[in-house]
Amino acid sequence: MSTDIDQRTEQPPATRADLARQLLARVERLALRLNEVSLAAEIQLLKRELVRAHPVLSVRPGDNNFLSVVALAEAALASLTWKGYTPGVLDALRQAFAAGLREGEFPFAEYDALRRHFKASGIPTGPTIDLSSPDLNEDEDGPQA
Amino acid sequence: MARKRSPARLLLDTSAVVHQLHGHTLQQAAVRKATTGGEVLVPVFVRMEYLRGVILNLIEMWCLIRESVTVQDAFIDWSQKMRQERKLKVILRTVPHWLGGHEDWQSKDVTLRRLGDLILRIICDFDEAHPRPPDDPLACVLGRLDIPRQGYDDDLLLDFYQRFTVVQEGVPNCRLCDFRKAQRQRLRRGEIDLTSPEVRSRLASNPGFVRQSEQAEEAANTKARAPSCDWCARLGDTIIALQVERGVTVVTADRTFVPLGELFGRTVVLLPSLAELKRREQDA
Repeated sequence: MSTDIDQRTEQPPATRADLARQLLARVERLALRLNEVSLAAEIQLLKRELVRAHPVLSVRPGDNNFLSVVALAEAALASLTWKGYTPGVLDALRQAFAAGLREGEFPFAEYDALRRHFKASGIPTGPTIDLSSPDLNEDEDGPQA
Repeated sequence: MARKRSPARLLLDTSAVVHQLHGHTLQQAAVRKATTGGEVLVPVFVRMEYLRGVILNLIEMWCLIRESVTVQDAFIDWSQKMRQERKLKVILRTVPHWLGGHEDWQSKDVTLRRLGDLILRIICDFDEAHPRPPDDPLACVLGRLDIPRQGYDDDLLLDFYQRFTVVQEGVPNCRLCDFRKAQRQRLRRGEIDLTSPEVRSRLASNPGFVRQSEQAEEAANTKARAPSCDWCARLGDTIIALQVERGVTVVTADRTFVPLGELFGRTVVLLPSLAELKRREQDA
């Protein structure tokens, strides 16, 4: 039996839609393993898939904004441990990748809406900064940014 | 009929904004708790400090990665820069660590794109969280600079950096001098001396305050009469505290504001450290 995921291991996706289908298939595998330790392996596979999307998308100007969606998803995955995955996180990932299925140039507005959706869903997409870290030496400026 | 009470007015300083936007969930919750039901004010000056402290540094990191042989080289050089400039070291240390946790972070192109997208995202997040700043008595030019909302392009970062540094290095078209004059009169009328040896000795255990006091003394003695962004960088906490209107409470994670609030007659809510918040959570 051949699946989108099997096809990916053979060759890189030819189009953004192919890539989006592969990413969506990965998310479905995550959904089956929520709260199980085997989820970690599926997360690693999704992360690897996302990295492979960079060279595919960066050569096509019309996919530039979808590459920002990929970076957004990567940022979210980098900010979560496997225990932090919830149905809400998976829904946001599904929504993000499904947006890539349509043909034609990927608009900035669509990326921007996804960015806002991640934010509204409380999904972190950046590092956690602790200004009160005990490592911070306050003898110069104190914890001001 | 009972009079409706107006909500408390709460001014977030830059450290409180960093807690709110980038803090641990407990720190974010602490900011929410401190501001619930209140009207939150984030001055243009705080946006300037955020742009200067977070965004400009991240763009410099982006450029350093681009100009280095490897991402790892760039991170090593970056950590050496941190040792030299202790300011903002937490932010400067956290972001490379976070980027290094990504898959295939050694790839320059991939890491540059991730960092570039992060920079644009966090500017948007700031402006969406605080879309309407209060009136700005300083008319700060840097605090109003923006990046066009459009698809990612390396030039968005570089153009912003260039516009920011041109203002920083020149004479800004702001009202710093008027503000300075008005505040000096106000302090004189209120017999408030930020720079007196008595105040400095009483508050010697607060190094942030002592530094502000020293900078304020230097500012008072300067002969220069043109505005300079350098003064705002050196006297940031004092300038924020001075623009807090009567009846407004300062919410901050920076202990420097506690004595400034006392001197200027303003209430200060000090956000707990993460260690303290974790202790409280365990005790609960």
